Amino acid sequence: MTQFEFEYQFNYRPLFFQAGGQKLLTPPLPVIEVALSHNEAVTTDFALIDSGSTFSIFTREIADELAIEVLQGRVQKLSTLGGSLLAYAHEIDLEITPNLHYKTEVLFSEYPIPRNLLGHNGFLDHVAVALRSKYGLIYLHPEI
Amino acid sequence: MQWLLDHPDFWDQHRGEHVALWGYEMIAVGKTRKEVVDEARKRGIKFPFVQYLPVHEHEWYLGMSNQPAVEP
Repeated sequence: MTQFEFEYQFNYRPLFFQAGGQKLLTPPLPVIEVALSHNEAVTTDFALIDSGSTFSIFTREIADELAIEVLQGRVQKLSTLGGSLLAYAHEIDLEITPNLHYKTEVLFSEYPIPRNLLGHNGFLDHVAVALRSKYGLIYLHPEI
Repeated sequence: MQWLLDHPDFWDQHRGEHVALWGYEMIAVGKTRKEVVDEARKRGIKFPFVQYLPVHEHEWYLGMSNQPAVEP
């Protein structure tokens, strides 16, 4: 049987959510804090690991903060749980830890969205991930 | 995060806006993320927690399980 070793471990954390008018926190989810940088600009935000997503997508407000001209990127039409969405591809440096960062293409939404998502392109194609929801633990190992 | 849970009316009053939080304190609210992050940085908080409050409830699901859209 193949065995894997993982270099990094993170804890699940909840996200804000609204359903039926109720404002609440979700149960803890596989969410990590990442830093995005472009040229000299850098910002951080939380992102949900979503293995059901093809693309890693961030709210356009992060692109604005990094002085990225969102609409100049390659356009990508998406269908998502919340409806269809236009997003634009840009290359950024994605930092998960100071020792685990890489350049990759991610999408930025045309309009603000309430949560960022780490999907296959831009994340799961660079990092091996194991999730232990019972214990609220995320394991990561670089595959760059 | 607790501050936002303790102020549910704030969510409705500021739909379509961004809120910056730091510990149990609301640092800034504004139309753009940049605006609230700049305000936090003026106070010495480099990377505040920022939450966008969507206008419509379905927007909470936007982006999730994304796939390339199939053209008709």
